[in-house]
Amino acid sequence: MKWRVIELHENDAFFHMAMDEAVSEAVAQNKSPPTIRFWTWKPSAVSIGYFQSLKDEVDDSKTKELGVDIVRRRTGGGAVYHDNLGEITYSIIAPENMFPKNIIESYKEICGYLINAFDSLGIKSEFRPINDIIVNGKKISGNAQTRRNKILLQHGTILYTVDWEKMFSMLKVGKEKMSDKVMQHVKDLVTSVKDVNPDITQKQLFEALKNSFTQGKEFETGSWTEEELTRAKQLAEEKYSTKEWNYKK
Amino acid sequence: MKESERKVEGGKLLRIKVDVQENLIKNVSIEGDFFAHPENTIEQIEQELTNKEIDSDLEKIVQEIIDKNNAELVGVTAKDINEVILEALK
Repeated sequence: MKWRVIELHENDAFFHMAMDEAVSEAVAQNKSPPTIRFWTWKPSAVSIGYFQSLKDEVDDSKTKELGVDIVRRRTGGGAVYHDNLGEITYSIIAPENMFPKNIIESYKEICGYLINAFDSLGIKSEFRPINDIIVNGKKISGNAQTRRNKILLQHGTILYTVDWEKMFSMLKVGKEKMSDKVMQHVKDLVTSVKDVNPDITQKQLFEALKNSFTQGKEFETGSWTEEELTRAKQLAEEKYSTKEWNYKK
Repeated sequence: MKESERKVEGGKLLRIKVDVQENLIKNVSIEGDFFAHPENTIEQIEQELTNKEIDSDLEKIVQEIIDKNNAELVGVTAKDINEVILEALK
């Protein structure tokens, strides 16, 4: 089956969550091919997992002050700060029968693309179940998957560089704001591509990701359809940007 | 609202907030950074637990919804949910 690859593009958090859902629907209806897309968040945003309490995870007065969006994902997992310049995010959307039925195995397969990309950049990484990739024991990529209507969606983020102060000013650990001690602890747990090798550019990272995700796949570079775009705009407006959705827990 | 939390499989957090009136669960929110497919299984569990007596077999109720939905929970089990509710109510 021929894949569609949508190259690095930027948009806001609500649009991206909506586009993942719009493409999932289109793939489920056989209107679109399985799709891989790479994207960044503009403006920067915090995403929270489907089951998380927004107020427990995020200081929403601080995000407002900094012009940072908050969006609830349709996937589980944890809260993540997505800096506009600090990361690359991918989504892979395909019929679930193209991947292992076992959830951990399917994470492992898709995370394998990331590990190969890191490898090609000279960075040794490994998969840490359930959904992380680590370098020297520190997390460099978090991933989240859902399956609905026989379609697998996995999106994940690759940390290119980290703005610690900004990140810590918005995210809460448990219900507390981060103390210096907790901040040091998180610094010991999280790393980024620039941390490991400051010479790697974001473009090189994107190229490495694109090459590894498409390896062995027949693919065409393309964009979303008009129908997907219309649906995504609708979902962004009626779901992902609403208080009912984002503050539901 | 009473609450309790614990770290479960894969280091995931499970936090449950629960309200009880006259021995009946009135409001329950199952939260955390775990995964559940399909996601609305958790909402169904919350609905199903509402108005149940706190000394009923909550684990069985949760497991039945998981089975009925053919759901897959990653990083959390029916047993965890039952135990964290009971901890919250202690």
